[in-house]
Order: sequence, then structure tokens, then C-alpha cells
Amino acid sequence: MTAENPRILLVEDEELNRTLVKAVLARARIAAVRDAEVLDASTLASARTRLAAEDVDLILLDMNLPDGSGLALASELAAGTVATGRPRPTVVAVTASVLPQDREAALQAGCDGFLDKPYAAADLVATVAEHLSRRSGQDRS
Amino acid sequence: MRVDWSSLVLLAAEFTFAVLFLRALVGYLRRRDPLQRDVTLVFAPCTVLFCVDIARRINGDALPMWVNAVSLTVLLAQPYLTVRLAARLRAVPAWLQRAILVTLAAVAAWVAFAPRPLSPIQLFTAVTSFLIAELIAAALLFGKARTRTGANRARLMIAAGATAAFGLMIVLIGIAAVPGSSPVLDTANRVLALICGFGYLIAFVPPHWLRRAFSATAAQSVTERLLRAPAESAEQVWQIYADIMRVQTGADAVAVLMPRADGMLAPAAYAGPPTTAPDGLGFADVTALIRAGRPARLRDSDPALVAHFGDDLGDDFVTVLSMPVPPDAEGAVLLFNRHRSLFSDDDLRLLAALGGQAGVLAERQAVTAAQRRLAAELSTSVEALTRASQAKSSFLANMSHELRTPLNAIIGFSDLMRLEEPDGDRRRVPADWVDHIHTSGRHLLGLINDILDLAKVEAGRLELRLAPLRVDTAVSELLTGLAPLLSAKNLTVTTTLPEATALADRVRFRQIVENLLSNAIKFTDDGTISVSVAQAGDLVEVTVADTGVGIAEADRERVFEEFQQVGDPDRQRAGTGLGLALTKRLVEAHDGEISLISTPGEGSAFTVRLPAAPLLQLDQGPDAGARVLLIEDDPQSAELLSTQLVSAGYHVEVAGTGEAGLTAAGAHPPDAIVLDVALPGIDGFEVIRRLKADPRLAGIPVFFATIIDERQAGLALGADDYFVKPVDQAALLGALARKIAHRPVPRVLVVDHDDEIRKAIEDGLRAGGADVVACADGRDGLALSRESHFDLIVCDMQSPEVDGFSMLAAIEQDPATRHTPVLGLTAAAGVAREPGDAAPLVATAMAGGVVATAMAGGAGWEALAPLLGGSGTAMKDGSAKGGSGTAAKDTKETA
Repeated sequence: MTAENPRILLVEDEELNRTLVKAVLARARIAAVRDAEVLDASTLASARTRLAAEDVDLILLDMNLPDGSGLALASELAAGTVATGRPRPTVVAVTASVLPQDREAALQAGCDGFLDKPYAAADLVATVAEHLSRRSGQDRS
Repeated sequence: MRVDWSSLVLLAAEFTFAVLFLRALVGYLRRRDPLQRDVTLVFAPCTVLFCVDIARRINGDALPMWVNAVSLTVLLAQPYLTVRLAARLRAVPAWLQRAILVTLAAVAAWVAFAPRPLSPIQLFTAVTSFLIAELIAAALLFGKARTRTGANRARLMIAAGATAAFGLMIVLIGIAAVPGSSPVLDTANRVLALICGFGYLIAFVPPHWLRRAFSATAAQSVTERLLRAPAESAEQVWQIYADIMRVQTGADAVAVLMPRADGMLAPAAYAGPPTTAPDGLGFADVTALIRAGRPARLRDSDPALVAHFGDDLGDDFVTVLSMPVPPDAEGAVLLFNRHRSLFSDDDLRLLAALGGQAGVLAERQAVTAAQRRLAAELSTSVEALTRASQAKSSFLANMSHELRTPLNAIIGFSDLMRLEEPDGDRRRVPADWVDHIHTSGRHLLGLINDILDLAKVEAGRLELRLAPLRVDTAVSELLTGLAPLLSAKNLTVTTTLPEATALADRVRFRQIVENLLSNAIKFTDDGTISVSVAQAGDLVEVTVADTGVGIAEADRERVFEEFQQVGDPDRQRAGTGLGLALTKRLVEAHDGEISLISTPGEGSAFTVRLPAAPLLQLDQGPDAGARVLLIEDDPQSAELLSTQLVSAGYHVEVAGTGEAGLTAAGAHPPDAIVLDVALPGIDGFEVIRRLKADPRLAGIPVFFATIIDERQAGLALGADDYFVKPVDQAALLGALARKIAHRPVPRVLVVDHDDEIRKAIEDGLRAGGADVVACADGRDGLALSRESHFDLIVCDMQSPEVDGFSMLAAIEQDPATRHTPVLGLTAAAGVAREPGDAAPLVATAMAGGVVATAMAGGAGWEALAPLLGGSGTAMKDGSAKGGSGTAAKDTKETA
């Protein structure tokens, strides 16, 4: 476990969903999740700005964003064209586009995980916890 | 040995002319064709001349005088015969023919027996007149040649040239006859004679190979042109063939006949001056013409042909050609000519044969073209289907996405709530979570409703309850409802709402305008929204304009597509993306249209055009005071429905069971019945069955309002409409208003001096649906009865001023009112008539010969009502049958 609390960037245009994610994570029973610092961005552009300025461990990335598809950001991260401080953040696609071809496209773009909307609170927590622990494991190794 | 070339040339020329003459003669003897006879005659003089020449060579110059005279006369006849031939081929003025004949005959008479050698004057006159006549003939042939094409033209040209050469030859002979002329001239005229002979030979008796070359050229040209012409159907192919044949053969008219199923020949195409197309020609008759093998006068041929073509084309020549149509049919080509065609017969046969084949080729071409067109259409529709299928897939994907989005909030927040610590049987949760769930739920519901509506429209299952709708009122109601939204965004609304009535479904209309309004509100941050209504002819226009973000030109079609929110993605607004798509479909389902004008950055204006309501139905609300019987056991439903009905201006009577409803309807038939299905005792279906079985009640419109969705059953039993609860109030009221309005409203004149009784009668009649005019005085009553038409006059027989009997007499005498039934009211014997008295009165319908007894006063008068609407006719009929003027005799009891 790193000394600092993990940082999560939530890229989501719907305010309702941002509120929801924050509320769910804040009430998680898993300390790592509960203690995570949640940053948010409602567009791709603001997400890029945030990533340039701050260190982020995990991105919860909506696909349908006002200024484009989340896939674009995922591919940029995979290609390393987005300046980030730490090792490349883990990207989890969180989207209501759940058809097989959508999932395929997300994985192709370099997303590390996939969470379908609508999700139960427990699913969100479990997904975040899994990816954070995998990451901290990598950090230690 | 020295060869006398000059003599050999002469011999060759003489031989050529002999051949020509013999061929022509044989041709004529074989076919007895007048044209062939004329051709033969043209060559006869030459032949005679050369016979004489040969005889002269054998006998020296010692020929008898008469031979010389005959040969000269025959020679002078030749130009005239040539002109005569030309006259068979084209129009030649009769005076010209006569002038030539007379001139040549005069010259012949003068010089034939003149002593030889002829005097220079005689020689000059003979040669000149011959030359002029020959040149005229040549010019006529040349003129004809110019109107023709191909081989015919060439052959006629050559014939004209040969004719001119013949004239020149005679000039040379004349010059040679002058003593002391050069012997070269003799040779020259013999060469000219040979040229002339060959010319005629080529023109009239072409060698086989030349003829075939002519035919082949003509046939090729026809076939080529036929195949090149763009034809889409067999009819067109034959029309083109007829046109080409007409040009190619120089015929005045060409008809192509094809065999019909019944063996008759029917014209497939006709080219030429307008004429009545023959309906069908006996194949045998045409075959007989074909067998004749030569042009015939139309008048001599098949009467059917004459009937169809003769009158229009004149007394003309018709050539009939058999035309084989592969595989085994046989048609015919008819060529009509005002004049004979000199050479065409040979070519024509080949042309007809080729025509059949070319026709089939071209028909195949047409079929191929049709197939190509079909293939293109098919691929277009396959493309369209593919596009539609792709659109469907993307619609489904979009729909899934759109549904999941609000569900995410609902499931997520409710999940969070479940995780909150319970406090007894409650949990403490943040209030805004509940709001989030509620909002998302509403959004989801809106989405599902939109999707269902779209699906309904797509499947054509959207049922519109079209009724005249005051668009201006509906729009202002909507604006009132949206006022909070408008003021929240600080938007100004301007309206132009003149009175306009569209034929529309109230609910759907509201949906359409609400979508446009909420769209305008959504995309306008500050500024003005203007709503205007206009009635333009048979259209009603509703325009919603905003000063919002506007829509780029490229997006103007796309805004009406599902799940498309266009414009700057940074400024996307919340919404299902279905609103405009649905709006467009709803408008189209009304047979209306929606259009959009927009300038990006300045605003958009959506205009909806819907059909206007027919003028007749303008402002047709429910009849004031119409009575509705509501048969409904559930008190809450009954109250809700009766409140709605009362507020719409109906008198409502409620019955709690089917039996009670039937009793109430029987006692006092209402204007309409609203009926539930689930009732204690007999159910609604049984109620309507009994209603429809009762002739007195069968005409009353019945509307089901029930929770049981058995529309088909209800309508099958005779219901006018079927509403499933929760009942669409507007739809029910609209249906009621339409049904009740369509019942004829009887006009009744009531004359009674007693104010209270008159009022009671009036009320009773009005409740029964009558239009009542009332007055107290008999004189006024008479005046009113003359001013306008009444279906019934009810009058008090004991009016103080004019008694009922004098009034009846007056009504009876006036032709305008003679046939109007009159119900006379009188107190029953022995019963005092007092205001409001419920005692029976005797009602006497005197004019109609019907005396009726009815209940008098108050509620009893309502018994009149059923007599006036549908069943009121019985009374009118009775009056009509009774005739006029007969005194009241029969007495009838009515309930």
C-alpha cells in the first residue's frame, strides 16, 4: 500500500452519476476504496487537463461524453501521448453501451476493465477495489 | 476487218431497249398491274423505233411512207407516256398532261406525213416539242425522287436522268438529220441511246445483285435504326418500326398489324396522318390482300380496311405485306400511298421479314431494359432495406443506452439507500437521493412512452381520435402549464393565437406542441419564444420559434431522426433524443407536415401544419342540456365521469346496475349512454345487447368506459366507441359531442298562455333534444309558424285570445304549415287545468289525423321527447298519411 491514498479520476458528464459514484465510494466498506480521493471531470478536455496536473491511479471513464468518446482518451493513454506523472493509470470503462461490439472497442482502445451501467453499488466498489489492489501489487513488485 | 463501233453501240442500245420492253411486258402480263402497263408503254415507242431502224438497215431506205409516219408518231408519243407514268407516281396537274398530249399530237399530225426530208422548221418543231415534253417528264420523276430515300431515290434519279438523256438523244438525231452534219454526231447519239437504255435498265430492271444490294442497304438501315431507338416496351418498338418504315418507303401511312389471341389482326402501331385505328381486321381478308401481291386501291379491298383507313386517307393505294413474327406468328404491314410506288415491292417484302425479326430483337431489348430497370430498383430497395436494418440496430443500441442511463441512477441510489443504517423500520437517507431516483424514474417513463409511441406510429397502430380541436385554446392551455419552466429560465413568450380549429387528436396535439415548446425552452437560455397559430385555407399552422442556439443546415434533416441531438457537443442538453422524431411521426400521422427554419446562433422556428376541421364541425361542442345516462357501479368512477360530463354541459343520470340503467333508459331515453362492463347482475355487454334489441333504444349511442379491454367485443355489440380506463376525458367528450351533434334536432313551436305550463313543456322538450321556440299568444304563434319551419307545433287549445281550433284552421289553410303536425293540448274532461297540474291532458294531433293522449305538465311532458328524435318520425308519418283537412277521428293512446 502506498503511503498516499489512491486517486481516482471520474470522467462522467452526468452530474447525477458523479454524485452517485462519490456517494458509493465514500460508503465502501473497503478502506482503500473509501479513502480514495475522487477527482472529477465532465468532458474529455477537462479530463486531459486534470491528468496533466495530477497523479491518478484509476480512471472511471464514461464513453458518451459531450466532446467525444471516452475511447479517444483511453487510446491516448495506452499510446502514452497523455502526459501523466505516475505510471499509466488503470482505465475502467463505465458505460451504458454494453453491446459486445462496444466492449470489444473499449478493450481495443486499451481499457483495463469494464463496468456496465446500470451497476449495483457493490459492483462499483468491487471493480474499483480490484483494480486498485492490482495496481498496488504492481507498485510493490 | 474494220469494226463499226458506232453500229455496235446502236445494236447494244436497241437490244437494251428490247430487253426493257420485254421485261416490262412480261411483268405486266403476269400481274396486270396498271403501273406495269404504263412502264411497258414507255418502252414501247423506243422498241418500235429500233425495230424500224433495224428494218431500215435490212431494207435500205426503201421503207414505205406509212412506216416512217407511224414511227415518228410513236416516237412523239413517248414523252407523253413518260409524263403519264410520272402522274401515277405523284400529283401532276391534268392540264399539263393534256397540254403535252395536244401539242405532241398536233406536231405529229403536221410532220408525220410531211415529205422527207423534213423542212428545218418541221424538224425543229418536232425536236423541240419532244425535248420539252421529255424534260418535263424527267423533272417530274426527279421531283418524286427527291421525296424518297435510299434505293428508291437512286432508281428514280436514274430514271429521270435516262429520260432527260432520251430527250437529248432526239436532239442529236435531229441535228444529225440536217444534211452535211458530222457523222460523229450519229455515233454520239447512239452512245447516248446506250446510256439512256442502261439507265432505264438499272432503274427499272436492275440485275439481281444490284437489287439485293439495294434491299440489303434499306433493310440494314431499318434494322439499325430500330435497334438504336430507345424502346422500353413492345408497343414502342412497333411504333418505331412503323415510323421508320414510313420514312424508308416514303409511304403516306404505315400500319403494323399483329395477330391477337382470337386470330384477328390488331394494329400494334400506326404512323401517318390521324385516322381512326382499326379495332381488328379479319386475318383472312388481309391474307387475301397479301396474296394479290401488289398494291390495290383501298376501295377495292377489305371493307374493314376501307372503313378504318379509307375515309381518312382518301381513295388510295394500300400495299399489304406479310410480316413473320418469330417464333410462329404472322403479322402484316400495311403501307398506304396516295400514289403508286414504282419500285418498292421487291424491297418491301424483305423489309417486312426483317421487321419481324428486328421487332423481336427490339422486344428482347425492351425486356432486357425492363430487367435492368428492375434490377436497379431491386438493388435500390435492398440498399434501403440494409439501411433500415442498420438504422434499426443502431436504434436498439441507442435505446439500450438511453434506458440504462436513468436506470443507473435509480439502481445506484436505491442501492445506496439499502446500505444506510436502518432505524427501526426506516432508513435515514439523504433527501436528494430520493429526488434523484424520482427524476430518473420520470425520465425513464418519458423515454419508454416515447419509444412506445414511436413503435406504435411505425407499426401504423397509433389510433388517433380525430375531432375538431380549437388549436388556439389548446396552445394557451399548454403555455399555462409550462409557465414555471419559462419563468425559471427567464424567457419571454409572445403569442399570436387567433381562433383556429384543426382536425386533430387532442392528446397527440398537446404532445406535439409540448415537445416543440420544451425543445424551444431547452435550447434557449435567454430571449424570446414566440408561438403563433394561423388558419390558412384547409390547413392550420402552429409555429414555435425561439431565439436559441439554432440548428446548422446540415443537421436539419437529422434533428428529426431518433436519438440524434445535433449541434455543438459541448452544449448538449438533456433529453431523450426522441422528442422531435416522435413529433414528426405524430404530425405525419395526422396527415400533416412539420418544417424547420433555422439560423445557427439566432434561433429556430418549427412549423406544424395540420388539416383544418371541416367548416361544418366548427365550434361544435356538446349540445347544451343533452342527457347522458351513466351506468357504472363504482361510486368513485361514477363521480369522476359524471363530474367530467357535467362540466362539459351534459345532464347526467347515474344508474348503479345494468337493470337500473335499462329501466332508466326505457323510462326516459337519453341522448347517449356511457356504460361499464363489470356490473353487478347483468354485465355491460348484456345491457348493450338489450338496448340494441329494443327498437326504441337501439338508436341511442353507447360508449363503453371500462377497465376491461374488450374493445372488439364492445364494438361488435354495437357500441359507438370503447374507452379503457383511465378514460381519456377529451376523447370521450369529443366522441359524445360528435354523436349527439349528429342527431337531427327537431324544431318545436310551443304556444301556451300559461307561463308555468309553457315553461314545463319547453324544458321537457329541450331535455329531449328539441330546439324550442315558445310564445304565449296564439297570434304570435301563427306569425312564427309562417316565418320559419317547425317539425312540430304544440298548442294550447284553450288559449284566451285565439282559440286552438281557429289556430288549427289557420295552420291547415296555409300551404307553408299544412303538413306540420300539430299537438293540441286540452285538459281532460272534468279535470281543472291549473298551473303545474300533473293531471292528464288530452293531446290531440288534429292536422295529421292523429289524436294522441299524452300526459300533461311537468315530467309527464318528457314523454314527448322520444316522439321528436329518431322515433318522432312515426308521428310525422302519421300526419302525412292522414292527409290534410280531415277532421280528427281516430284516437290513440300513447304512453
